Amino acid sequence: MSDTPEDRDALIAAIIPAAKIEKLELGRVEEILQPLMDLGYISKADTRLIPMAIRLFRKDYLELNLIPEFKPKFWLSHGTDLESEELSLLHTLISLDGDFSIDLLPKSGTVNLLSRVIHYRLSIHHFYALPVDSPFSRISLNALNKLKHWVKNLPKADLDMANLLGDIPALVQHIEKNANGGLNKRIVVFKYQKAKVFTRFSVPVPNELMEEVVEDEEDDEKDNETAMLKAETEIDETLNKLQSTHGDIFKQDEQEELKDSRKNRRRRKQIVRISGMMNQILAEMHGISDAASEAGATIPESIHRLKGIQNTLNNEHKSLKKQISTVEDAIKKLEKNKKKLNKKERQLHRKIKKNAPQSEIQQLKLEITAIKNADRTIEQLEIKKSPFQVQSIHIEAELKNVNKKINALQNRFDNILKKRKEEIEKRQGELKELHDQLKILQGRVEKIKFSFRGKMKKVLDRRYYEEIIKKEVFEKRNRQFLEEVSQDPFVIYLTRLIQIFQWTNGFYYGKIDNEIGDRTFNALDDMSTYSRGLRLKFILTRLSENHEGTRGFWILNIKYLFARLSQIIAEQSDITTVNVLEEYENRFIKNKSSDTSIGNEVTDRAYSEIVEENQSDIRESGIIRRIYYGIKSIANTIFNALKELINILRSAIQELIYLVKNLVKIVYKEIREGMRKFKEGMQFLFGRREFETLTANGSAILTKYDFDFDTLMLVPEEVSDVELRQHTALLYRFSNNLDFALVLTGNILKWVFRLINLGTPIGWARLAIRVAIRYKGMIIKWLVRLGRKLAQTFVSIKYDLGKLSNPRPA
Amino acid sequence: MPDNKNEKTEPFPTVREGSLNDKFNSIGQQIVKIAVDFTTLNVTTLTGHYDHIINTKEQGGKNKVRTKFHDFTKELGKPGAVDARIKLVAHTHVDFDHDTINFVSENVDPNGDFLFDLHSAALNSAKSSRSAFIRMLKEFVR
Repeated sequence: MSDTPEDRDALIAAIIPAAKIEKLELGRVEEILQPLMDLGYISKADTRLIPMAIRLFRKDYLELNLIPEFKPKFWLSHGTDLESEELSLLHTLISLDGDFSIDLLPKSGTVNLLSRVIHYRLSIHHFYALPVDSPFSRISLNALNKLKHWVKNLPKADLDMANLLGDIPALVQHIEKNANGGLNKRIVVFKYQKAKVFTRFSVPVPNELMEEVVEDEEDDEKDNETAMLKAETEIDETLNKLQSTHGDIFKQDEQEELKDSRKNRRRRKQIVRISGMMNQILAEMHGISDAASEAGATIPESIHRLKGIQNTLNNEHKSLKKQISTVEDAIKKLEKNKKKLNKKERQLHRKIKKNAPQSEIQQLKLEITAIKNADRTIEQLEIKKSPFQVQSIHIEAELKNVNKKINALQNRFDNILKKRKEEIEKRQGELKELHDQLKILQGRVEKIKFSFRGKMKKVLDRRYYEEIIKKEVFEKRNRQFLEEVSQDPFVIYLTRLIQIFQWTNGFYYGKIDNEIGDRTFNALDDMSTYSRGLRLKFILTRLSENHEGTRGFWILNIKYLFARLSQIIAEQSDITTVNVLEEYENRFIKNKSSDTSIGNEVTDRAYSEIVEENQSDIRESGIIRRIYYGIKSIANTIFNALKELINILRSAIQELIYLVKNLVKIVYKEIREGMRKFKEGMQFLFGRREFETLTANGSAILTKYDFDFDTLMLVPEEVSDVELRQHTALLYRFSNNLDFALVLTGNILKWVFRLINLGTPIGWARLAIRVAIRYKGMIIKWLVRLGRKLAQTFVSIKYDLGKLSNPRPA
Repeated sequence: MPDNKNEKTEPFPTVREGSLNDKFNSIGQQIVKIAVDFTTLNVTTLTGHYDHIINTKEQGGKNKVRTKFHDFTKELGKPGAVDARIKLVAHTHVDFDHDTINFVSENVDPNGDFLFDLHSAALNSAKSSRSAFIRMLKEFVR
């Protein structure tokens, strides 16, 4: 192949085909637009405003020296695009996982990136009603301390408050321990009615969920958790016993999965598995029966065939015997005649002596001659008899063989029938045993009451429960009390915080509006499904006021919810997006038979939906938009649920839960950003290295770089200062910020050539996910390095990405 | 696939044509083929005016073709009258030990200073590109 610049461009385009990355580019504008709106650089969703907002954002982060090694492309003054590094910074700024901590408050009256970040955080918490781009002021400071009305032991310094508000996991943990009067003397009450009208993207709350949280009439205040734990232990023991006798019910990976599931869900799954085992045994029984039937069909047929042969042989044998017998009769007759020779000779002698008629004498003479020739005839007959005898012996042997075969087949057939009977009896025994166990388990599971009240009694202050909750709520249904609690500002804030937590953990995608709607309900269900140790029935219950149960108050056990969430947060390991991507590669890409696409119809649909949702929602002003761009908490949630999420992606499920969309969003986004950098690197290495700036007089300024960067620049005489400056910018655009893209490209090429040498085929999907993994790993390290560098130079900002710098080993 | 299979192409095994492996293979073979001299760096900036009058009437074309200055290297050697003024603005030679020789022409008015700034920009761009390229190589062989 020739290597003209055109050929090289074509080769790069073939490696990174536009069609493949086109769909990934969808929604990138919104990924830039929304954070810029959140930080107050843009007041409404109008892409025409993006260039100006980007310029302001660049000015702000340069002023704070937030990415010291990066040179922004100011000359693209009309561009709506941000570089990957800048997008990464932007998303870190609006993260609420404590990824970006501030070491110095902005001065009063200033509007800068820090004031914007603080105001954004305050807006999320609904503590600040002014626009995010308002100057930092006393109002901001008051807002920072608003939480102190309800929560004790909060940091004294305003700065620390600003950082705590940007770290939702830490905040949830703090409130769980330090709410004024204690969370164990609080409940969250709200009104909710299941939506009747659903929009394009709303997902109705399933009836099962409503049934699970409905108030149980028999659900008294008795704390039945001890009984429940006892029943749970018994069930576990039964299951363990069952598992030891029927180990093959649970394959190894399924056991791992079961460990990760919630207890009750696990039990249900185990019962499902036992039912599966029963079905398997039934199938085996059918199999045995089929095998026997098959054998039953072939063996008698063989016997029948052999019996046909047997008959033929018998007939042949009979016929031979008859022929032999005929010959033997003739011989016998001849032998008998031989004994008459003397008698005939004496008769002849007498006839001659008596001068008997000549004719009689001639007749006797002929008879005597015939008798005298009998030996020869006998000999001839013996010769004739011999082949019959040989054939007969042969047929007899064959008959013996056929008979033996017939007997063997008959025995085999009898054995098969006997074995089938035994196998079926054995399986029937197993089936009965499993069926009995299943009945016991089902009975026990049904006996367990998931008591909302019991759990509430256990976690709340005893006196508060007995005197307030039991009497006013459950007995009197004190509407005024419930109304008052639902209007309590701290209760309203806690509802909001639940939404924020759901949002930052990838469960929620509605408005942050303090209202518990269908999406919050579904998100609570997903949280209890995919977060270890949470039970929905303990979180929520409904106090119905009418028979249909459509109106009334809902009670949320905030102490239980926050205590469990705090535990989950404390147990979180250092999961990064890199770990999520690697798991995605292992579970989804490597196992795929076709390696031509990075996803499938489901992932593509999930991505299209999320882009479409974002595009439609971003137009609504005055709401905190639904897409969350922080990564730390979501990465943890997704990593823990990844196996089930991948299963959802592999199936053709129509209603995709938001967690699945978040997974796809993360994967597609990192592939897109990685591919952008990889393409940049490839173009630099192998693409055209000629740069032209057209001039007013129809000529052009041209710079040509060789492969080893020897440079020739041709500048026409009549050029303006502006044209010269434009060309200067173009050259810097080519060479600025190349390190990142080239190190990534070097890394990927090394991986590619290693695989080529091993003879391993590289599909597009494999390349794409590998680029994403390497890119993300690099960007995490890059941000951490910048954080350290900034810390060393005493700049007031740091990226608090310590955890991210230590990705789990693959 | 390249014709010169036996020339410096051994490190890259034959792969199925049209596959991604094949395309990367082509890239690899290009890397092997390219002669690279990282010991020196030369940056040259030229300015001027270049009119190349080519008689294409006999071929049924137009009488003259005015060639633009930035294309003049492509036209060199072709027949026809040339009206050209080519001036060297600056030439920089950097040795591997960073010893640098700068040649700066006098009187390259009217944009002398701006032109030299542009030359500096090209030099800086070449230097940082090369340094990034070397980092890439380091990553590649690491």
